[in-house]
Amino acid sequence: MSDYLLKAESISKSYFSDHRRLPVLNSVDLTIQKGESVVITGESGAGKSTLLQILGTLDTPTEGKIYFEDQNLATMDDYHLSQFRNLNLGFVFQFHYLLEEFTALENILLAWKISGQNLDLGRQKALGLLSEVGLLDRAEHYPSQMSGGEQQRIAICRALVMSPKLVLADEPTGNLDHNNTHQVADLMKSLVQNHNASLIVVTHDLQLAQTFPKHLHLRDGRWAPLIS
Amino acid sequence: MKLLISLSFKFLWKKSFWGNISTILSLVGLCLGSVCLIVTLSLINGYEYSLKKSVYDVSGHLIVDKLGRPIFDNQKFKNEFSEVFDPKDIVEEVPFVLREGLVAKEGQVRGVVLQLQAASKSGALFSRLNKKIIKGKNLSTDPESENVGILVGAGLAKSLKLEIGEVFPFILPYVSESGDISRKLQKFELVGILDLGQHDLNHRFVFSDLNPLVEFSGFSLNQSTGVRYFFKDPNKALIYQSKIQKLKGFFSARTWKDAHRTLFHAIEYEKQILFIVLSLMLLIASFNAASSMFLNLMNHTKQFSLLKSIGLSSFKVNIICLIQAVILAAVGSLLGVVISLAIISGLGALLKGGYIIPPVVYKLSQINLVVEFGDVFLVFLMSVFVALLASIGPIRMASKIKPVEGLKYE
Repeated sequence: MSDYLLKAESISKSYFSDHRRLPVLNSVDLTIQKGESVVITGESGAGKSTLLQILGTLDTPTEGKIYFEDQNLATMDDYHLSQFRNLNLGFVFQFHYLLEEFTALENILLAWKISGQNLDLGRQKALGLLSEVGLLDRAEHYPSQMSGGEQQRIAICRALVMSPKLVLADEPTGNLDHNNTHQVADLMKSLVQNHNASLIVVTHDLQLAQTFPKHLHLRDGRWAPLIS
Repeated sequence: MKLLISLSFKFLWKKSFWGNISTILSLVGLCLGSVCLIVTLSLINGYEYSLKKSVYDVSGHLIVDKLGRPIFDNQKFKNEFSEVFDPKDIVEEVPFVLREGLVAKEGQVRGVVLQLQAASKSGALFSRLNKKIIKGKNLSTDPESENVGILVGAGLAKSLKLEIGEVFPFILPYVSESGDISRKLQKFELVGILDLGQHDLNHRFVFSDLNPLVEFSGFSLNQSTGVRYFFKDPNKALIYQSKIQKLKGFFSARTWKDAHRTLFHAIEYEKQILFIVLSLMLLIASFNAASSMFLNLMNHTKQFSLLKSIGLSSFKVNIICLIQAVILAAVGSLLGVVISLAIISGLGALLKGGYIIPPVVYKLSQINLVVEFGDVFLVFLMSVFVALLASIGPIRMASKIKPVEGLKYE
């Protein structure tokens, strides 16, 4: 049994345009311990979102390997990767990506329904999460009937409903105003902690980054020392 | 599966009309394709049915004779076929006499075929003829009448201005054994006017009972020109025809199909060709459905990307697209079937009135629309198949959606 949750070894990612290679990530290593919260900062184009997507198996690296509790994710096919994401990962994006056609409760339950587990249990869990984020009375509301901050809180509930081992957040507060930024960030951190999950947050908000115990910085696709 | 069905419906159908315009147009396309196919096939079926019916009712399903020579002993003739026919298949067998002669009125003369039946008045032949009486009554013997009753086709009655109850002469050319040509004259009383379904038959055929005309016709009650057979299933005529043709003897057997062989073949080919041509319309409609599905997919790339990120596999995304294709195909085709049936019932009334296609063009007194449920089912299956075929492209595209691309925030 591994003592780490996730280990990325020599992750490189390049895009090809007009026969030219555009490197985005260059041999990046990263290890995340169970229950650990990490923030990754960097300028636009530094490769932080790409790294997060690769760690979340939404994209594939050009080179390098990712292990999740000793399991090499590169060996999985689409079906098993989907199952892996469903059971182990939770995503929070800059935009909430809630499905407009579904209520808040239905949006939170999407991953649960995909897993095929008992729906009553899922509903209880979703309502519990809604209560934790203070939006229990909004369960039957549609995304269009909610504010930006509320929508993002619903997205956090959606990420946590399956009790994932790792939550990946890409600029989770990038779309919110100053007040909501801190509320949502604090809420996300405390919820992740309460659910014993690990957290990787990508942001360019240095103020937000300072509130995390572990802070990594990317520059031109490589880890770089923090300049204070 | 419940989730996939729910996602399929919700992604396909929005709350606003304009949001659904592409889906609606796809449905209309598939629906119209099905309508064209079903209505056209019903018209062809109706034409074939009307033609068949007019042939059956007058000629029976099978006519057996001795190569045009008279049958001198009906009972002996029937006995020769006792092993050929299964009595369970036969509704009625009617010996008949055909004589060609002239009908004259006020200087107008028409050549006609007099068909004399020795059949039971309550049998299949007379009950079919009785149903075709549009004016007057049937041939039931009136003991007080001095004249023999006759039924004539509507065309003949119209051209000679014959009225019910009118008595007119029938002139029968007669060749004696010495070769002299003479004529026989018989007065008939017009008791009923028939609509025989075909223009030619209405102008050429007259019917009467053989019993009072034995001497006039030159035939005895046990003699005939041939025997007409009516079967429970008209298609049995073809089987019995082939059996009779294999018998040794001078027999000839003609089915209802032989009477208009080329026409029936032409209808068959026409039906097949029209089915192929109109199926192309469905194919065109399927492009519309494909374009709607592509559009729908592009509009939902973000949603599919999100669903993939939370664990929906590419296979399940394909299933969602497939369900959408099935919904489009099934709803479009079902609508097509319902609208077709509505159109057919309305069009049927117009056709019966001769408002759209004058029946005389097709030498029929009436053209019906006949819905064959096998055809409707075939069109439905065809429409669903074509729509599913159209979904192959969108399904392939859906399976290639990369979550990263859909989740880029712009």
